[in-house]
Amino acid sequence: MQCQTASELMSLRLDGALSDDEERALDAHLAVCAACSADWAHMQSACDAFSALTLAEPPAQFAARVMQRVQRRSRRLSLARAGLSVLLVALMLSTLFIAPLRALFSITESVSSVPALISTLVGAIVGVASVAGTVLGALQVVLKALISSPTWLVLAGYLAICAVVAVTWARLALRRPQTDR
Amino acid sequence: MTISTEQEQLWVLQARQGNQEAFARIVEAYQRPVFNLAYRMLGSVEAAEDAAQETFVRAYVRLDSYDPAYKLASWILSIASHHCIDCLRKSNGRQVSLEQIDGARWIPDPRLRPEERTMRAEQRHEVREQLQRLPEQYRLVVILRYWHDMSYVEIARVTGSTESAVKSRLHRARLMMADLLTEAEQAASVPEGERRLTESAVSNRV
Repeated sequence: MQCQTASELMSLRLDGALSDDEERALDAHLAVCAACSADWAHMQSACDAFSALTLAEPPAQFAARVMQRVQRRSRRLSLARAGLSVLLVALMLSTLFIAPLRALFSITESVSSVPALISTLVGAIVGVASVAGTVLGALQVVLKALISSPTWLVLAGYLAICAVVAVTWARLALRRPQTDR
Repeated sequence: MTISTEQEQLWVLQARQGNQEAFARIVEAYQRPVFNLAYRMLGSVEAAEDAAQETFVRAYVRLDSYDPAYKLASWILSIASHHCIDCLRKSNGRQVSLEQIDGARWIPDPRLRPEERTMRAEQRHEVREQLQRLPEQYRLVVILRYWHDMSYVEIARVTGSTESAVKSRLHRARLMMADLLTEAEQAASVPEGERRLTESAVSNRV
């Protein structure tokens, strides 16, 4: 047996991980190799010293301080989540209103008489309000889910879906008047 | 530790639903092993308390990623181990890859002046002192093996390495500890001129 192999077996022996054959082979090597025999004695005494040590005790009130830190962190996380949700709502609202606003501007440009303008405006406002009502209802549901949601993963998923929807909506809304002309 | 797995899993479930009381029970159950690991790794009570607190905060935030197929203790100690290694690397201002560590030769700390070495020789039974001189990854496997009584498989899971890497690190760590203790003993008895020879012998060791 080479000394390197013997040295590896010594370490395994300290963990009780040697087979009977390996035990015998190591003993045979230690009996004839003075250097390895000395190493074995040193390794044993070093590891005996470890075994005598006990777990270090945490300072008094450690658990209470941990919980204070947990509370601070989870408050900060909730705030961050709420902030992100508000941003999300603002993004969705702004893109959702692009189409009605564009329509409104094109109407005011083309209509000349005042009564016709007023009736068209009222019609447009009613339209916008009904869209807003539906959108706000949906957003309320999403917002509730987001704020009570316990993971960042779910939040990231929502964000990704909303971003895709918002971008698609914005592209469609911005492109339609050009294709009409 | 005498907490049943069912009790533990119940706490985890409740804590995931935002029940901080349940998480407080987990903290109370594991504060000792987590603090011990941080203290043995970092060597000071202040740094250990901060690292142990941060470990629990991270566990709370990431509770959803815990897989109940494994022991909760292993999962929490794994977070603690990674955080302590990060702290050590930040404070040392260096990044050391595992390959570099496994391939590294053992060199005694050159920052110690002769009078400090003599002082250390006087405290040769202070294993904790010597433990702090081991490279961080070696120190970690020794702590998990001896203080936390973990098997090779558990240590591999906690440190994110393989069983054979764990065996190899434990082997090298034990050789280093044996050398450090021998060096300390010899430093107490051998005159200054000859001590250098002893140290160069140690540096060629691994």
